[in-house]
Amino acid sequence: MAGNGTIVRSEKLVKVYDTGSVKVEALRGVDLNVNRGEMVAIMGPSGCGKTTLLNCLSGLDEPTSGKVLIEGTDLAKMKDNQRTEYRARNMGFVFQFYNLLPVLTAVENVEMVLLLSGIRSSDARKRAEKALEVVGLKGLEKHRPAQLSGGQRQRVTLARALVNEPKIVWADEPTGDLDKRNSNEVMTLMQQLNSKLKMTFVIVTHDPDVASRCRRIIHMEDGLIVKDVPITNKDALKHPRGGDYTSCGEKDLGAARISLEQQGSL
Amino acid sequence: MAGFRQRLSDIGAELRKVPLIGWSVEHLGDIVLVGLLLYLLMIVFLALYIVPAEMKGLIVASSLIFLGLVLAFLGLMALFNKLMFRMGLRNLIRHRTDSLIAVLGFMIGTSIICSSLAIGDTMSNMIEGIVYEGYYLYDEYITVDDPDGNPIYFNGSEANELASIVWSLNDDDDLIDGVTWEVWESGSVIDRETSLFEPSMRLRAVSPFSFDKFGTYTSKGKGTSFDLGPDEVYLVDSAAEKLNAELGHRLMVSSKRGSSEFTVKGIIDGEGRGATFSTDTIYMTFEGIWSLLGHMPDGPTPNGQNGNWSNGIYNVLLISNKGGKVAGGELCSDVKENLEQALTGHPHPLGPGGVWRVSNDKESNVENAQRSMESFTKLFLVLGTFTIIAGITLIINIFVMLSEERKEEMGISRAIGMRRKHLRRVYLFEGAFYSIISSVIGVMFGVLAGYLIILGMQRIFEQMGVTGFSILENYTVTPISLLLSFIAGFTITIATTLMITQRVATLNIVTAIRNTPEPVKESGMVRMLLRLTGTLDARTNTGDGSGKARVISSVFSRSTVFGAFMMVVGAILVLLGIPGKIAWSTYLGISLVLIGLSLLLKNVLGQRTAFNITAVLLLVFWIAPIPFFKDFKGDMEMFVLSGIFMVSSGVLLLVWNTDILLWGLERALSLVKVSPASIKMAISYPIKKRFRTGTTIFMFALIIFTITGMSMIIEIFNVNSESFERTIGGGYDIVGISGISGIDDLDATVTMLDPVNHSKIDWGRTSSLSYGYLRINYTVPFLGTNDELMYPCAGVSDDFVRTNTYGFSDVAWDLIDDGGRLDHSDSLVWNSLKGSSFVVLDGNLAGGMFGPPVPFSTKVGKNMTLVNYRNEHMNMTVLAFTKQMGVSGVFMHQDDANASFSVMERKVHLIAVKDGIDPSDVSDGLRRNLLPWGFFTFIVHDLVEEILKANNAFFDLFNAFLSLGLVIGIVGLGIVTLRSVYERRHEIGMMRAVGFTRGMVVGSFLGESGFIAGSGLVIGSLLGVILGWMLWRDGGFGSDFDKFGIPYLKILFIVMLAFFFAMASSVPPSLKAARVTPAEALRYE
Repeated sequence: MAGNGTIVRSEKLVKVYDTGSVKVEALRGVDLNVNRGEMVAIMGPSGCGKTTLLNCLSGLDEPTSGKVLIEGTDLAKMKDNQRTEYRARNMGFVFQFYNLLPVLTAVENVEMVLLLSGIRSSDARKRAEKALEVVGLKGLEKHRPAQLSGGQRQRVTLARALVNEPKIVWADEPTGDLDKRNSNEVMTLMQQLNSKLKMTFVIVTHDPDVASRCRRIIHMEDGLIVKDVPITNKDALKHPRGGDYTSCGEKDLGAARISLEQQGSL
Repeated sequence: MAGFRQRLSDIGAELRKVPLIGWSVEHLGDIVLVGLLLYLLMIVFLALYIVPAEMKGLIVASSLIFLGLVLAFLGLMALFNKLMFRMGLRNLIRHRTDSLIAVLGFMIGTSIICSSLAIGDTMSNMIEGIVYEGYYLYDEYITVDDPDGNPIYFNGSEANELASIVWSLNDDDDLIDGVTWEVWESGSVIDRETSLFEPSMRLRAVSPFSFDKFGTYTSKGKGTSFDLGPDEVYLVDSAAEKLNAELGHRLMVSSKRGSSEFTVKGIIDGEGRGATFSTDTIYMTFEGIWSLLGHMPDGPTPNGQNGNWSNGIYNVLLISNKGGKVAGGELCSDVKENLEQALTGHPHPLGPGGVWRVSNDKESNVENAQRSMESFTKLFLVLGTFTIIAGITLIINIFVMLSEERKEEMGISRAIGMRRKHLRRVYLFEGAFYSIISSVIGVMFGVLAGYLIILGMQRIFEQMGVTGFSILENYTVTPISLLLSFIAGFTITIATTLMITQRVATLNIVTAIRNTPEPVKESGMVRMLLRLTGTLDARTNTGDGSGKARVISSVFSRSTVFGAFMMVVGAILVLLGIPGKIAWSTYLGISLVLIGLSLLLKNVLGQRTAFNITAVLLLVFWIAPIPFFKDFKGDMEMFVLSGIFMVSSGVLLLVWNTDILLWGLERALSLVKVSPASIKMAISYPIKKRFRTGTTIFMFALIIFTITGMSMIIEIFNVNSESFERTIGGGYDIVGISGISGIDDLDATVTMLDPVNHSKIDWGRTSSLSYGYLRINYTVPFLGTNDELMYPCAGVSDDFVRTNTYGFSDVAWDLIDDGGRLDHSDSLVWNSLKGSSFVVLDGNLAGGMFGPPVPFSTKVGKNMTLVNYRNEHMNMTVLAFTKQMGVSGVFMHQDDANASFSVMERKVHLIAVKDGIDPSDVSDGLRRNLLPWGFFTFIVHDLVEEILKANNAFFDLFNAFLSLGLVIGIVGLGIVTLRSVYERRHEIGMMRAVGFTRGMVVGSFLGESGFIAGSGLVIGSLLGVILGWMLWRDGGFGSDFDKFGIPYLKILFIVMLAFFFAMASSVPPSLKAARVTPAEALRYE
């Protein structure tokens, strides 16, 4: 049962990828609570399961076992269409790549989620324009993604993510493709949205600079949460085994346990 | 070897430093390949569309050599570029789905060519079979014809003399193995037991001593002996069927000289010795026919025993060459030449100047059959050209999509050291494999498709009641046709591949890897000019943004230069076309000028405005009636050109104004609660990807254009059937032909013999023609040799001039209208024939799109050499062509026909019945009562119905053939959708993430396909209707065709069916798109 202020909760979340010859346990029983209005960073080396965790929490992917409750609603009990609709109305997404539809203009990309939610075209257009204004892109509504810089594209994505006033915004490496200046701008925007609108953000990142903007840092390793501390903790940004995260990320690929069931032996 | 290659490489490196030589050396392989392919393309085009059958083998042999050269050259390139070869082969093997798609798409053009050739081969085989069967073992025959075309008789001693002359030819060349005299006559027959009659049958008396060389008879497949008494006959089975005759029945046979009664001794098969084409035949003894003719000889009649023909009369000398019915036929020309030489100087029964008619009809009929079927094949090929063009468009589309898919891969290849030339080689080798495989599969599929079309034709013939032969059993594809199809398919595919690979290899490495838009790149000439004028931005190698730089960039851009080139080529074509009033050259030239102009203007007005203006101008030019071009002559090529340009213009208008169209569509669909998000997704990609959208729409539109155009033609015929009847019938209801001898005064004869029907005939509108034969001397196209065509000669009477309404399709008015002072009328034309050197030709000799094939072509105003039975050559001038094709003939005034060609017998009677009278009653009565003249009739209305029925059936068959092209459109759409799903995988994942349900994903992809297919089908059908209207408006059917009709239901049915299958091909990829899981699709690590 969700606690007061809890917006997302997972219980013993497990995700195993089975490709036939290889089984990968990306999540090995993750229990997590995210409260309303929090800005949470999930950190960890490559392959530790952070993107998988985000996908399962947001309903983009189905866990192998365990539960995910969003405001007390069990996502697994929803049919695909219901889940999709729920996402459209209540969630926002920011990815590192493939955010925008290249054939649509900035305003068309933003209004898409409103149209999906059944908002009238004229209202959707107005709100989309407003959202673009909020992220500082007034005047660029009719530009296509190819005509925008990386930072501008990511702002459009942010505008799309917040235009339907979602309860939670999921961001997977939102600054991974941006330079320092743009990264700062995007993160500042997210912080402002978090503090002013009390929007909940869950951000997957391996960048300590990005994580430092969040109020809570969750460290993952090998498919499990190994550390969960507020940013005020002096070791919040330190790797659980000691040392710092580099911006290139850990080379340690042994984060997930791999059980090999191949025919014959390696 | 390695040392040799190193030296070559060093030499090449040195040469490359010299600018133009360097470029040439760098591109040497491509230059040689392009040259070889261009030559091959030219040969293929000639072989398919231009050269006659007798030259086809030579052309194919030549193309085979060049194909070998191309393949050898590719092999050499592979030897010197082993790595690229392996990479090309690897691409084929590892990208299995791509390979399958490419092969399926590429093979269709080959299969269309192969099926067209297969149809032609089959028809040719069938007709040849009929010819060989009809002649069986005799290869030539000698007759002497009177002016009315009837053979004259030789007595016994004359017969012996002629026979020995023929045998004497074997002294020099041993070509002949049989000589026999026969008697051929025409007669009417009544079966006394059944009372059924036939107005005209072939009566044939044969020698019982000729069977070893000329074959025996069979009855129900078993051999039967020739054992007839003088009053007994054998009936061919088809003749027995018509008379319902059985063994023992008595037949009353009448010839022009008398009547006799015979008993049916046997019914024999109408094949082998018993076959004589479509003429039903009665076989009898010499004594039998002589008694019928009233000439019984005195004394014994050897009947040819031991080569002795004394005491009889005979009119046809048959000759069998060595080698059987086919091989013997191939010796016809030689034997004929020898015979003519041998007979020169021999006394002629008609006096000095008389002509011995040595007929090698077997050989010439086989050649005519081949020519006829060539025209038939060409018709299918021309119609199939649209499908071939659509196939080429599909090849381009597939290759462009493959290259886009592999852009990243290519960029990385370039980054790690692969040169542009290497990249081109990889795709060239891959394309070569596709070309070979798809051509082989295309040929196989074409053989199957051809079989299905022939099956359809068989059904049509069966429904029309045409029996006696089976097209299906004659299904053939000759090795030449198979080779030609393979070569054509291979050449077209690899040439297109080579063209695309040039484009593919010019990509920018970084933009390819990062999949970002290509940067603007100026051509070498523009960069040079910018540098010279000091307006070059060295950082970007483009203009510095100044006005001067912009002008230089636009004036000397690639598209501008190409546009100027097109305008020059177009202008040349126009200048060549206008003086000779050649439609294709003029129209093509003007179209190229307009397109070139758009390329010039796009830098000034912007692409959208320039292309919109061009598209509108092209459409107006092709559709509007322009008086200046009214008399320009064109043929099937105009049909093809109009299709290409009209459809291209329509598609161009659509792709540049899709946003306007879709704005309306969006509004309309939102009213019926379709998700606006889905609509937006469905329409955005077609708008953005103009080239892909445009080419796919073009494929659909072109095929539907031709199918709709065909349907319009037949509908206009159908709604104007009454006018058609007037054109065919000339205002008459019955055409009667005297098969035995002419009737000088039909009125008096009918009064006497058939008073009942006499009162039903409108004698004021009835007339007759004298009818005989002459020879037309013509030059064989391509070969340049002279040949002669036996053709009817029709003598026109004043009654005919007064009563006929045939009309003319073309007249050289300037020859008869006294400088324009006389009114142009039909009677002016007919009356101009009297005492002049003018002739009018029937509509068959006008040739053209839908006419029967003739071995030569002529035009009004041209001279023509006619030859009479005395071998006198007369130069005449073609004054006009009649519209009708019912009565064949070279029409001249009856006095001239008599004087120059001795044609005087009234044999063709054109009869009009009074209003309210059923022509079939009158027809039956005339046939019955005029039996002694062998009078047979056909009713114009029935003939027209049969023609329309056959037209409908054949046009439907053509449409079925053209529908093969729809397969291209459907495959193309399926490929485009499949590629879209693959390319947009990540976007689909994102769409699903933000709220698109699976159903909405399916809906947006299907919506996209529906838009593309629907647009193509609508544009094609609309323009097809317009084409039909244009043909009708411009008098293509004749001025009598005053009604216009549109087969709405048929068009709607075709469009809906095509749309259904197109959507069906998009369902699997759309469902695949919906199955994309967001998490998997968004993975990038």
